[in-house]
Amino acid sequence: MMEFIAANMAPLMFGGLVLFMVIGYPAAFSLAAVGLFFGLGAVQLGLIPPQFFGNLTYQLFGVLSNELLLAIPFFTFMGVILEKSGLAEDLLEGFGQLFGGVRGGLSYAVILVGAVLGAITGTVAASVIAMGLISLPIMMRYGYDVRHATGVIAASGTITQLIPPSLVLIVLAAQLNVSPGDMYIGATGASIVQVLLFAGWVLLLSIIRPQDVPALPPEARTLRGWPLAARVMRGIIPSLALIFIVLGTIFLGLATPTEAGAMGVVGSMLLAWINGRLSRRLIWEGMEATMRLTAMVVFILLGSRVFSLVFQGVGGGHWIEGMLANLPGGVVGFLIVVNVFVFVLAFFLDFFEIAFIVIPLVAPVAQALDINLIWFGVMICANMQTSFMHPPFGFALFYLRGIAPRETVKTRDIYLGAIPWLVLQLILVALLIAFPQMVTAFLSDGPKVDLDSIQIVLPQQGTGGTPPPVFDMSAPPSFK
Amino acid sequence: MSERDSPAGGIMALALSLPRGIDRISRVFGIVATWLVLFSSMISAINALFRYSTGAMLWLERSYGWQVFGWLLGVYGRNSNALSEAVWYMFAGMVMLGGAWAFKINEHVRVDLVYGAISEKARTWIDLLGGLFFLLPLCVLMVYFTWPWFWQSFMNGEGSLNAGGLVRWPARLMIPLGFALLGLQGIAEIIKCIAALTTDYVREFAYEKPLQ
Repeated sequence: MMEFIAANMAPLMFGGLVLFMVIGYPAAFSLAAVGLFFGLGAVQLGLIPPQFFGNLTYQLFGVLSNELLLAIPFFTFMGVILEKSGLAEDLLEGFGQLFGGVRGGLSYAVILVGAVLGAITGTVAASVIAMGLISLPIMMRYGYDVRHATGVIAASGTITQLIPPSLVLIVLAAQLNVSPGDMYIGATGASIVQVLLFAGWVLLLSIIRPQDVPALPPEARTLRGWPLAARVMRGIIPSLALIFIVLGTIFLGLATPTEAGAMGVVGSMLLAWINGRLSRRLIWEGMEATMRLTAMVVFILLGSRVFSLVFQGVGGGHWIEGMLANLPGGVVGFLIVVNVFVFVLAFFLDFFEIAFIVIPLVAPVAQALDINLIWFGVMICANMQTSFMHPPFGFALFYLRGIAPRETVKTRDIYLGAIPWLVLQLILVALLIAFPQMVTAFLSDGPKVDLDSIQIVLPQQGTGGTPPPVFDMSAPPSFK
Repeated sequence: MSERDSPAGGIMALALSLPRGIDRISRVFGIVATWLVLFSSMISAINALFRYSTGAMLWLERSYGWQVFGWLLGVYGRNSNALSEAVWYMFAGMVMLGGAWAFKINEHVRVDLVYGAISEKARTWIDLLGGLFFLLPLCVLMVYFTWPWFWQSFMNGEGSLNAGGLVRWPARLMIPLGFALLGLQGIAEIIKCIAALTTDYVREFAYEKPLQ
């Protein structure tokens, strides 16, 4: 009996994790508890030395002192403030009027605004809620198909997952131990392809089912000429400013993603203040929501570190590698299995759980198979984007359900409307597997921006403890 | 709590004053953690701003001879390591001090495949047993493993590896303190579960999937 346990510690531990997680006790505590108990058992059986737990403290401290993870509170805080700042409203009204005249125009406007908001912030809620509140009623009034309208809004809200500065990409970069700047550069191509795929689908619909996406009648387009231009500019100018503050400074190598997030907080507060919406209540609510989400997320990471440490200690890494590295089809076989696995898991786990539990298990195998980890990360990111769009936990669908009127929009319509967009996202994953150049081309022979950001971002690559580079300013020239 | 007339109810009412006290402790630390969100983002932004504008400030200093920029940059330069370390100290505080409060309001994410489908009573049992057999031993072990490590750092006055950095023990304290607070809140939740199973006490926070 004891020999059996000792020989199969890793599979037993994995089974124990699955069992205890499924019961429904908070994931963070289940992970840590399973890790600790199996760890103590392994010490008893002599599989790992007792001093092994000394590493534990350093692992936990490594998480808390990881500069990169500070992006979680900063981008969340920024997203909450931005959601209430009125920017999405300005953008949607401007673009809606601008594109409204063509078939599917409102859908193009929603996709474009989703992409712009995605390039500013890293969280999904802000864009879906704003677009659902503003665009959905207009689309319904002018005869857009309900399923198409809800689908395009939910899908466009999730674009923000893949477009830098996405929180998902930062967390994946931290888990895969690659530079977040490279991750952002790598994801740029994929996110452009995604926007084109979405727009292409709308174009196709406007040809095969024009009744689903009618053009706005002339009387609905109240703005023309200069007033229209002014309206569009009102949305575009602050957006470009915010994109520069956050994304521009990362790509130019001026700031780390973390600092860019902090700048984004200040920028979105300024914007909300200009629009007269900044109140002490808004700030407090944002702070509190941010604190709760950060504590929850980082506790999962702490728990998964405890689990991983022991799991690797009892040889779990070899066990997983033995299963995954010898799949038929080599690299492509591995990628397909991992993507199917992640896609299925996304029905049960949320994004952070997948990133913290599954990625550390498969990343070493990917590395052993000589897979470009940036490419791998972007692929997983595009894959996990689907989990926002399908039952039972599709957050984008939840948000939409929360704000769409129940009499005219049935829950069934929201779920069915999401299906074509889910298929589009899976097509993107397949394209990424088939054409790694979509990611790697930007990495290898990009413009000189590439070099800049690599130079500055590299010091982030370590386990975290090191602060960002600081210019030596102890002695300015005129100070003597 | 309503049936003070029965002796068992009286004992329960007395027992429930303990979790109320613990809730208040968690709330205080939760408020501290909430403020850390604002402080850390502001300090990080100031840090980045100085870095962006160093060149411009030096240029202004040289061109106009205003002493103020040179002085500002000097102050910043001497303290920049302390500032950037303060930011992640605050992050550690945000997580470890806020963890107990997030637990109190049932914000820690669960896999609700089973949990979402069963009765409130069964959920209470899961929380009770999970608290007793997962959370409490976990917190005790964590404090046991991390306290000596903090104490050593505190006694040695361990400093930062970076010039002008901060002393390390406040950051290290966060881990044992955070798990102690979490364990305390765990005791409170266990008492609430027992109360919910034996009396008509209703637990106030139903589980909802967190928003992202």
